[in-house]
Amino acid sequence: MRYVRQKLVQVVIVLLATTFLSVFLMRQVKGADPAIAISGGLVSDPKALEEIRHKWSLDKPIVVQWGRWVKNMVKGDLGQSSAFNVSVADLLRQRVPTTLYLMLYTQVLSLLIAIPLGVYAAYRPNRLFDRVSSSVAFGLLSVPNFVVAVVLVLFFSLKFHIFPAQSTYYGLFNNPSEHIRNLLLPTVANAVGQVAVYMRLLRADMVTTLQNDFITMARAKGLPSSRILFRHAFRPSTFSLITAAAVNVGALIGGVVITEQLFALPGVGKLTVDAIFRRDFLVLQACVALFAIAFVVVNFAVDMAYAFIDPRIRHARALA
Amino acid sequence: MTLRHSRLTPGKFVATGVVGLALIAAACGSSSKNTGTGTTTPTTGGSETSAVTAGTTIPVPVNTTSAPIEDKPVLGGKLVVGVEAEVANAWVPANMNCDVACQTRSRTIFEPLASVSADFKVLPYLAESIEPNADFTVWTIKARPGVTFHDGTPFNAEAMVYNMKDMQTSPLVGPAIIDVTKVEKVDDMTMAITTARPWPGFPIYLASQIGFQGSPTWLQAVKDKTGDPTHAVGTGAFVFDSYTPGQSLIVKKNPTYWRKDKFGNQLPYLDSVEMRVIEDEKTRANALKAGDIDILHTTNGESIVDFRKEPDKFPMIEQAQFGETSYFLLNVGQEGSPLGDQRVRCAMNYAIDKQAQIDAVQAGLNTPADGLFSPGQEGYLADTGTPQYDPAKAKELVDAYTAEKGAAPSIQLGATNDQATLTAVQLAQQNLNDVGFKTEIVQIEQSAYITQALLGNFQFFAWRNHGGTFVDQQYIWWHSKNAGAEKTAIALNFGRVKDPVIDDLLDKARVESDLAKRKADAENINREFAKQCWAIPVYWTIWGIPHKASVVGIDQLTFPDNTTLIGLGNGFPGQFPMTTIWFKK
Amino acid sequence: MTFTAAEAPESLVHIVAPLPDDGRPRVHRGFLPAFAVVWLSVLTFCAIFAGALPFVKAPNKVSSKLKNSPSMEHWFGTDRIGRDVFSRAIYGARTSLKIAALSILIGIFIGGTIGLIAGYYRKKIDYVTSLFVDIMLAFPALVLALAITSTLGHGTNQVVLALSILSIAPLIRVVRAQTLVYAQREFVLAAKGLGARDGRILFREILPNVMPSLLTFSLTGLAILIVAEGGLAFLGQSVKLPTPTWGFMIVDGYPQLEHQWWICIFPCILLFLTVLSFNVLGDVLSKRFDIKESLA
Repeated sequence: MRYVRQKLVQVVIVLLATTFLSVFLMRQVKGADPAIAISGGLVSDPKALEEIRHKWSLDKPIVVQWGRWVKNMVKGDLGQSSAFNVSVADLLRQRVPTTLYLMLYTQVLSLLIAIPLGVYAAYRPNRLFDRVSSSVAFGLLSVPNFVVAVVLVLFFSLKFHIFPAQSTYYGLFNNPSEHIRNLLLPTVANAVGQVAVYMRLLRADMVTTLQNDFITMARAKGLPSSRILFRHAFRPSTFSLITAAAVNVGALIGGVVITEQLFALPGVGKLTVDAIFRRDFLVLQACVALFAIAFVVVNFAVDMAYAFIDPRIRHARALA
Repeated sequence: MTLRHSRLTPGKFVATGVVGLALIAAACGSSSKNTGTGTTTPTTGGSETSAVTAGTTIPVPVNTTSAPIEDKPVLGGKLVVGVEAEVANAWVPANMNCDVACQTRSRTIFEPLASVSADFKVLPYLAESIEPNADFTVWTIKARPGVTFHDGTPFNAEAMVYNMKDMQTSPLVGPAIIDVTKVEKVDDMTMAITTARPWPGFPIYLASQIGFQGSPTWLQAVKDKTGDPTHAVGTGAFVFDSYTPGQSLIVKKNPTYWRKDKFGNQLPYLDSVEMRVIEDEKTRANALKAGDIDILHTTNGESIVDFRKEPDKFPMIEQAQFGETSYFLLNVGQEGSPLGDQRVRCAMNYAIDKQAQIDAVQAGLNTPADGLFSPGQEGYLADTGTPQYDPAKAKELVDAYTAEKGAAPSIQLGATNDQATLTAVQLAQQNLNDVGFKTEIVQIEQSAYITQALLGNFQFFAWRNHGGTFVDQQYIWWHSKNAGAEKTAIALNFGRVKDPVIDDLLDKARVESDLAKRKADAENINREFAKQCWAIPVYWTIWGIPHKASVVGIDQLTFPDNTTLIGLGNGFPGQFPMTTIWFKK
Repeated sequence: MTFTAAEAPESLVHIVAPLPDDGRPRVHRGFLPAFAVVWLSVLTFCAIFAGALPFVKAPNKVSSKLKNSPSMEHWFGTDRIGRDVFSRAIYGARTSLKIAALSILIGIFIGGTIGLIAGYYRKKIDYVTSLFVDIMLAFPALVLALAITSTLGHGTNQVVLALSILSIAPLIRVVRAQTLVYAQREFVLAAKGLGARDGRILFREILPNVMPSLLTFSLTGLAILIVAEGGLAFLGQSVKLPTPTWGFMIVDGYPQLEHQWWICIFPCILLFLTVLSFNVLGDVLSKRFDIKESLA
């Protein structure tokens, strides 16, 4: 339990520090009196500006401003977006599903492709299929998502008009076909790099597992290969894969920012970038906090899971 | 961000608040058939580039306006409009930073007190009458009886006064009506506005954003923080339904709207309108082609050229008058800046190849601009005397300057992150470097760009502004009064132009009631601008409004008495009134 | 932003149980490493001597030949304002490589030092360092980079600063993890026993052993940073225009993709080949040094 407490303290420190950093950095950015920026640059009334300054403690040192923001956030008040004139909470509520779906689909798609390829490559290591798929995976690993996006758009949007070059978000339940059609290209752009990562990981683990005695035993018993691969060898080999899938959330967040921007998908990533450009301070601070929370929580969950599953890992991780 | 062709063009501040009025007020121009600019392929230039574009022919517009509609309109249906941006960050009329998309949107909900007729006269719209006193210093405005706001608040003198006072104190639109000294209620239905000096052209502002009428109940609630600032309440043909920030606005038919058409039908015809924000030009065009939307607006050269090729499937209305001018804005007010020197400014005008700019950024569509008054505007001249592209002459002037000062003129070129703007500025940079300038490009994000312009913290910005009808609408942009008293002051005369000749002409035009004399003043302003090289005009905006063939009544602006103005020359470049749109069966 | 790609492979190093090296595909022994070496040498040569090469034109020279497709005169065609895409791509290599190399060097210097110290002394220093790394990794890299460029302005130096800050955290992790391992080894303990000073142990005993994985990671890091510069360019936050970088060229050509594909696609190809080459070399090195890194 000491371990859990220790980790929790770390999580809290990281969250506090990242939110502070976001407040600090945004105050350094040239361009506007934060009070005016928060008001949308339109409030003529000095009294109203004063109110905003007071509410967010803008006349105080940055630490106090940050403290005020955290306090308001805990109370559930994230403030108003100056660019859209709606509450930041509402804005996030609208944008979060897009990003979540995009991340979810990316994970699902990359695993769906990576697992069979990885398993088969491990089944016959160093044969033609393994060599080809490994080289291809290596190639894919070297294509940035924006380059994938460019190529996809060139062929699937501009040449064949199958998918939109710029996506619009449709709810999964309102319009399932458009929902998929609009999210597919961004999903693929993000998934390409991940497939390679997952495939290589799974293959390596699988190769080790397949050298184990119990596999030899199963083979000796004359079980069919597919059964050996998926029933016996697969589960013990997914250890790294699952970890990678969880930890990759950080990388995914990064990828999503770029792809949302490229495809004009109204998610949190695009919101973040727009908030920087529009000096929409409160939105930006909320987005940074959201990303940091996502990252930290997932990592925390992974740590905890391991700690409970296997004490040796806990030790190893504590060391590492 | 960076990927779209025409995301917020830098100068889109252009269309902001005050400015917005410039656009709207432009109501006008008799059946502007767009015979002039924009319809022909530009072949000017003498520049190397014309040889290149000679190969690509640009299709000539097929129909720029629709025919008068005599059929009985069909009622019902939902219109989906693709709009180019969502810049506006407030919905309260006095705080709207309002570009063309915002005007399109807000005019479904809000209505102005006045509207401009075919013969350049301002007619009452939501007002029943607008009357000046003998010397044009007091304007008496009567409210149209029987009109109520969407929330049931009656439209009367109190409402008008409330709105006008909001406008007066708005930092965004207030400066345009600085000459208004008193706003008062005369009786239940009458408001009187007193101005500091005779102002015959004042009503044009009532036809703009400044004349918009929002429900005072709602406006007060917003101020008290009990009302939703995005849930707009006006008197318009449509009622606010739902809004998704950055994505879409849906408005639905106002069943108790005060207007009927000439057949006695209750207006509007449509049941609802959805305005969908699609920033990317190509995507917006494809959305129309795929049938996802019914109509769109664009200034993108490639898109307009594309739609000209399919006039039967997607008829397009084009508007090449009263629009904004794309230009390079120069800040002439900085101490020690080479831009304070007229030779330098004129050298820049000689150096920059406008046709190349149009070819690179606009697919060769537009006509090179010879001044900041676009065709149709009071003061427009085909030949203003602005220096034409001539690098040799530019070099001569720069050499003279360099020899005198001992150093080449050094200039920072500002651009937003928008690709079209970056292209334009990089091209300009090469043009300028070729004749001996020392230049550097500074990239600035959109919102900071506008702030820097307001503060005068720039030297050279790619910009778009100055749409309108009457010269008085440019007063706010060019009068030295608005050039910022101190160094750090915010000023709407972004270029800090202090030209006594222009000041004098603007003041004269403001109090002038004789249209012919006013026109002459305006033309002289245009000439003075060219002589002093206060800016570098590049091209005049052309708006294209392609739509499905089944959509009719787009450019039929009607007045309360149901007289109709045909054509989007009616001063709403890029916008279209939706009250009278319907779907052909 | 894709910087975070840096975190993924790297952080996996510690979580994932060491992978067996046997059974790894040996595909990189033949063609690819050879290609990578040749490609990078040619590219670096061209980038350094771009100004002196007869087939490379001035990168910013506009001409009347707008949007020309690839030809004998313009190998990669011309862009919207008539600049030669091939020449810009070569000069772009110069900027992109320079930025990536400088950033990684600074990152190695700072990250490496901190990592060594944290891994060697452990205890409080290590705890604080780990927290710092966690904070850096949790903070969206993009926001950090954007804040830097919008505060300090655009330019090569600012971009290098932003990217080196971003590369510090992952490098600390790599070095620290390695240091932890070696600090427990017999030869280090022996040196300690003989009374060697900490500085000597760190730099003479541990550093040389950490070097291989640092080098390997740096190669991968170069690949990641080249991509990261592209990401910054996508958001309009890279170097001053008109200086070409691959990232900016790709963004610049993107709106023209339908009609003038070459403006965007050629820089994409160059970027891909270069990133691939760095990745391949990193992989080769990791095998040579037998570094049990789970990912490329």
